[in-house]
Amino acid sequence: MENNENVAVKKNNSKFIIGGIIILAALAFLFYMTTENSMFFITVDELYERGDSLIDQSVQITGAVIGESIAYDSETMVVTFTIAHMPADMELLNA
Amino acid sequence: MLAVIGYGALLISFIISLYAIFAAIYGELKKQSRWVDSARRAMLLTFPVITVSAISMIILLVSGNYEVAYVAKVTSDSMPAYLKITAFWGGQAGSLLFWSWLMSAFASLVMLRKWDRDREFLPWVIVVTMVTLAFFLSLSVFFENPFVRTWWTASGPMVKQVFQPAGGLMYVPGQGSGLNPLLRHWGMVIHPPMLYLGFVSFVIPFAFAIASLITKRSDDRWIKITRRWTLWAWLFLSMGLILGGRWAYDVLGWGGYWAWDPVEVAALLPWLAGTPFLHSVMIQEKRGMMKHWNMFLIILTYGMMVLGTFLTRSGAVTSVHSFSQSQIGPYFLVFTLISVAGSLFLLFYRWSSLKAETKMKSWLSREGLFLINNFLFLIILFISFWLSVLYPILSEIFANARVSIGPELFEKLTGPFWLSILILMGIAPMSAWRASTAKSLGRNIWKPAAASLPILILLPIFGVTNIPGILTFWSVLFVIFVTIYEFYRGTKAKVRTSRMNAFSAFNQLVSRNRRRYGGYIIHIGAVLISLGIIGLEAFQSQTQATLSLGEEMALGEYTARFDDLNIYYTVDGTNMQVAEATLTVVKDGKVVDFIVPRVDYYLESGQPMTIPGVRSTMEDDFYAILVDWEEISTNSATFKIYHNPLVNWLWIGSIVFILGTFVAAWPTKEESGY
Repeated sequence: MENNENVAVKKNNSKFIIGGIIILAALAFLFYMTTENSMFFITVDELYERGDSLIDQSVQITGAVIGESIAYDSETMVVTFTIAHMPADMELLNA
Repeated sequence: MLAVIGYGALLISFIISLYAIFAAIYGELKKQSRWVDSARRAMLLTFPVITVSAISMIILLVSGNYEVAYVAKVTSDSMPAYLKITAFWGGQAGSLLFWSWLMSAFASLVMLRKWDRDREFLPWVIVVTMVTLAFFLSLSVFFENPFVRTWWTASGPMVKQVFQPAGGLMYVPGQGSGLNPLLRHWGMVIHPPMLYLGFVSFVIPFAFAIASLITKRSDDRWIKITRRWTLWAWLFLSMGLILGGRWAYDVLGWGGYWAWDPVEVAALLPWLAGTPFLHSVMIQEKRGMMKHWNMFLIILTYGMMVLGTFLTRSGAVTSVHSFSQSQIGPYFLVFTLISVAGSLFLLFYRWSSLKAETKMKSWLSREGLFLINNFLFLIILFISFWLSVLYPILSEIFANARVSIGPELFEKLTGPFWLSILILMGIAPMSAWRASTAKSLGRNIWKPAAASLPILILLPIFGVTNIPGILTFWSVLFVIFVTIYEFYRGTKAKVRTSRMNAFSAFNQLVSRNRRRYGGYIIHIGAVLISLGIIGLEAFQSQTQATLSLGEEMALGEYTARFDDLNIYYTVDGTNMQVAEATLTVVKDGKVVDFIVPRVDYYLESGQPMTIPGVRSTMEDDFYAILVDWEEISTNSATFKIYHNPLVNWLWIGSIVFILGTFVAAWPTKEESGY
């Protein structure tokens, strides 16, 4: 009788261990996938600081797009524009 | 004057709600029912009093009373009256007042029910609903007052407050800024109220759950009372999400309907908690199991509802919904944490009194499959919460890096679980409660399964090679066959036992089992929605080109010819510059339609709005966006075109989904007393 109970407890323990490992593995996978697919929000200064390390990475840059600088090339369908670093460039823009 | 009346009513309603909390607790602790009755009357009073405030705001908005800062911020003379009313919830302060108004309406409705059988719940339902209402009112009274006016003070700086400061002069702008153009769409007129209705009506089942915990009830009475409340809440929330998707498809001009934006996810989270709750309560009613789980799920739903509101308004996560951000975030966070932690503490405190009456015998039983469904929904909830909320916040705190996650990862990680839920929709209805074996389940399921399997061979033969697409098409067909089979079996049994004709038997079958058959109709709606989703996600194609007048661009079987470009200024007071292109759509050599993509440029706010031209059929949508044009010559323009297969099934499925919920929520004779 006692042996049967021990077997049941051991079975339960192994279920918890296997379940725990699966959950931990899933969380690790989720964390890995998230870090691999993150998109950074950075400032203009940070963009200069990080330089080449950001090549081929998706980034969103905080700043003010200067309206007059927006240029759309309908042949290549590429939009180019200048971003001002806010608020550091505020005085420059107001000048 | 109206601003003062509106603010006064807001303040009085806040005081009344505080009084209701105090009177309900005092009456219950002292066992003096007159105090509880007084609290009940106070709760009923909140609705008419907040209505005074709400009507004051509506009059201020419609009459263009720009002395009130909120009115000047969200309306302008050029807006039609219906949009001025919509502006009520088009900004932060107004939407909070609107929220409180709806909350008080639901609180009053619940007070009008018959309480004879459930008197013990009454004080605690009052406390929970009034605490929630008082919190939202406090935000309006102290932080986001929609009735403040702008004053020049004698000392110089401008201040915003309701009452005139000493020596202050009122500042009245000649014109308002106007509602964000993106919000000027029929979907946006109904979308926020539906979401708010969904959010506030989930407070009612939560209040009864907490009342049940406090009063040490271990039965399912709270579930029976709130069953229809929960279904209505779920319906409103679902409609809010669907309308938001429709708005994005019609107005945002990127060819899609859902971008996994953090605020979209914030609205989805309570739905992801509420949907398993709807299924799980059936297990408690049928089998007396899952009592802890159901309490946990409704607490989670409530927590997600408040958290969702916090995320929308705090700016804690970066989102396109930033129009409603402000500094009230920390208060929301504290309220969310306290209410969720307090509820969970109560649940653990009452843990031993909520023991299951029976044990689950098989994972293949109806209750077992419902539980798997619950896990799948919660996994999707956790992934969505992690990607859109937790990871960006943790990343900012610990790595000082502000990040966001694109929609691709959401789709990649949640896709298999959505598909599993879809397949479960086909299996679970065929399983029995209590004991169900693989053999008995197989016996029930083999006919619809066999009927649906040929599609797995036929689709690749016709050139469809996308694996998730093929699996989704199969599961859609499988669920439809299972549901039709269930209706057929039920009707056939009824005809056999009652000698009715098939139509009467079917009618009686559905009307006497509304919850079950309403649920099946919802399933049909859900699979049709899946059809639209997979059509867009797996088979969408797009291209972009700059065309001169008369030139063509091709996409799949379609060709679009650029025929005309018309640029004009509106004269109806909307104050817009409109660029309108005409494209002739040709399919298989025949002209099938003319579509008119346009860009409305709002001169007041300097904001453009891209409105696609769409040829819509049951088979697909041909969706064109005017990207750029040459204003002077109007001889060339750039277009982006999308081919969106099956997307209309998303909207058709949504209508079926809503109809099914109506059928399930409609009260039976036995429920009319609830």
